[in-house]
Amino acid sequence: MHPGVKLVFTLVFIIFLNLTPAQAWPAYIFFYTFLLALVLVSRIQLSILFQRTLLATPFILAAIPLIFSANPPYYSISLLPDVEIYLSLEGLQKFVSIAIKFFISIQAAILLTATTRFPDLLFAMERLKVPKLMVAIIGLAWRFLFVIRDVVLRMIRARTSRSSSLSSSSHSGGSLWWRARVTGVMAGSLFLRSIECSDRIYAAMLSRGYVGVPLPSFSKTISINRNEFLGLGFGIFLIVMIWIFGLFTGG
Amino acid sequence: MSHLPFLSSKLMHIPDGFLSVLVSAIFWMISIMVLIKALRETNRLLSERQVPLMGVLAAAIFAGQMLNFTVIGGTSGHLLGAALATILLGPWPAVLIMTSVVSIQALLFQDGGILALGANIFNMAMIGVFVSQAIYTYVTSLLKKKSWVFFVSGFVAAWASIFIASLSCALQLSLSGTSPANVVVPAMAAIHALIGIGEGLITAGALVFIFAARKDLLHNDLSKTGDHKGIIIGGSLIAIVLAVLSPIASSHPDGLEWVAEQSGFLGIAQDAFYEIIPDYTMPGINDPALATIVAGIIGVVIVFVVAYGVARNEKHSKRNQISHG
Amino acid sequence: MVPIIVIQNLSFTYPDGKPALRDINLQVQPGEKIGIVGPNGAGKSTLMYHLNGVFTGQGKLFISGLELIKNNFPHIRSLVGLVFQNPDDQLFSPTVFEDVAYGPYYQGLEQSIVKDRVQQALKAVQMSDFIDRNPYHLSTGEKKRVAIATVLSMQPEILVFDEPTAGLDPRARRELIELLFELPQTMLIATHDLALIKQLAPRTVLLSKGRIVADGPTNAIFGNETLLKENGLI
Repeated sequence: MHPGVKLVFTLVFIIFLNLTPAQAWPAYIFFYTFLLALVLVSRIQLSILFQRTLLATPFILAAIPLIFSANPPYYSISLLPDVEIYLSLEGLQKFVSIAIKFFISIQAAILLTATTRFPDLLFAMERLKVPKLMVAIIGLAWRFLFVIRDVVLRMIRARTSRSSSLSSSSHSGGSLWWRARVTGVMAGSLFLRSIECSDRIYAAMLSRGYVGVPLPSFSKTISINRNEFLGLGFGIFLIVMIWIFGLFTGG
Repeated sequence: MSHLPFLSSKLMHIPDGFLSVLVSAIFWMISIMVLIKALRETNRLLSERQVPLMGVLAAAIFAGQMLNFTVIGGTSGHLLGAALATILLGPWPAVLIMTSVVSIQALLFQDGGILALGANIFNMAMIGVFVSQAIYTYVTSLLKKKSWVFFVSGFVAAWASIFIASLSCALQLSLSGTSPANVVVPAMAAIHALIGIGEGLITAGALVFIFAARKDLLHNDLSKTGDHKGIIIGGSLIAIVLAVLSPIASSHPDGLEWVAEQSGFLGIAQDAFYEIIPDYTMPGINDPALATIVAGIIGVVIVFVVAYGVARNEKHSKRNQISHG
Repeated sequence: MVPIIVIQNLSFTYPDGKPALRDINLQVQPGEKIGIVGPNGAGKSTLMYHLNGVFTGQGKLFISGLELIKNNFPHIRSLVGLVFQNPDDQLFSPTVFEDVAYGPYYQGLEQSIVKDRVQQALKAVQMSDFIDRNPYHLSTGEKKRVAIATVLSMQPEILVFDEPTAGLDPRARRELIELLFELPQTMLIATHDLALIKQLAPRTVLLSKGRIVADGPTNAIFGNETLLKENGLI
């Protein structure tokens, strides 16, 4: 499928999901059903979907204070004879709404990433009028990310293998400041190596005829066919319908 | 596809679902405007030679975020890199580099949302860079001619970039009604005051190395090209406004709402789909000052739990990918 | 004699499911110098990384009688010095002194002892004059020597080299071989440089596709042309 279609669909999906008011439970169910249907069609592994969702979950805690601080009515729960916790029902509902929106949004984003190669995504960005220079920088950053990651991993391994102690019980590690400084110096060294690497890349690009225009598209030019266009339209129509439904059912 | 671990920086990468569409849209618009300016300036100032340089440095900043040092127990300090990029390349290219980093993190690794990307770019790639530039310029001119000036100004700039960006992040969350201002602002401020020290130390350490190996890069024409007066003023204004706004928002029970009403412009938007700024009070405690303190403590605890969770996750993913080697 | 390295049934699989080491068994006596050879992807580096717990697979490993388990990692790392292929990965300090001092300083040794260790280590690799230089500006051969000093300063019992001669010009290579010949430690050298092994290591272990396919006197293995051909070494 055309990457632009997927990108636009994902954006529209996430925007309307987030525009849906709090407590629109039935609408959330429809949004998620729609997404799950697409997940099943795309045949990506559910385990990947949930693993990646889980990795981002800690942020949910940022919304927990809502439970204790939104508007009345409050419900008290006694923990100990003299200690009571007050929960706000409204706060709880808001919290759950945020958690659900987070959960569905991130899975929509994962679906996009898992089914679209990054160069295709860059191509889609280009077609959506993201400036060429920006796309070129993002593209190069992506291209060299894994190369540089390996450099960083080797540096960390080299440091690890020299981070020793004299016996299994002895204290080691130096001072916190020193460790921080060593890390900083490693970062500085990584930067210099990267700058040199970019010089070599530039030379290689020149030798292949690079004349200063931002890099060419990363993917062959393909245009959206009629079916994809109709599919996108229908998808957006469904999303808007669910959203309108949500407006009536929300709190 | 392999895993890159995302560090304490995760606390500042807002996922989707946490910002209201209105807040997201506002920050998308601001970010796009600043980006257009940054692209124009970069095009004007730099040769095409800098395109691979910026791409590779963006990759280096992303991957460099894996470099960590043990602080205590399972926690560790990391680099975010906005200040380092600013000092090495100047503010406009740094905006583009950090925007690339934050965008790839969102698009490829779901570290930060897509709808929230505008706000995340604003916090990490714009506030981070402008505040760094402003502070770095001030401190450098205060201490000129000393050989250690780079390290001190690098440290302070890096610390401030993290701290101010976290205030912006916290205010965005509370504006969206996701987290009460009197909890999220002090909590984010407290934790990032600490994270900022790590950022400052790593940035200063990096400058030590670069100073020893390639002094020319710290005096290069890149960061000197162009007149950064606008950025310095802008960066200072952002820092001052956020530093003033945050205590008001977090000490006043209805702080943000009050500020918003005073300034008027946010009030207009209040009739939008649902109210942006709900009333927050800590039930069960009558004294507002005490309530604020209690809320603040709860917030700090929560943020520490988050940080711990992230550290655990990261350790796990690092183990995976180290053995991936 | 009690072996200084014992590896029993070591297997390792990358998280993506690609097996890297299969059922490795190896014993090394103190003072032995062993060449590890094999085609690209045979598992040489992976095996090296196991020797001080940077990687951990299934099976048992003992270094100087200590089992390689998590609690022993820090101690074992002081016994096993790993020298990486690319010295840039290993050198990351503003001065040669600080780089060589990293290991002993991390161990918590006193300043004066750290200084002595650094001087000894640099003397051993004939780099004493470079103590205040920035490693970034050294030649590849000089970097390699400093990288070796960074592990010598921890006074390890075992030295493990990953492609020590890679990227060196002929003279730097010859000098490095002379240096390795004089170092008394037990040595494992993973390399494609067969001439290096012939000169330096009386015993050779041949790895292929994660298995040990031959282990014996270097002369015998290098005399077996079919074996070398089968494993892409000539």
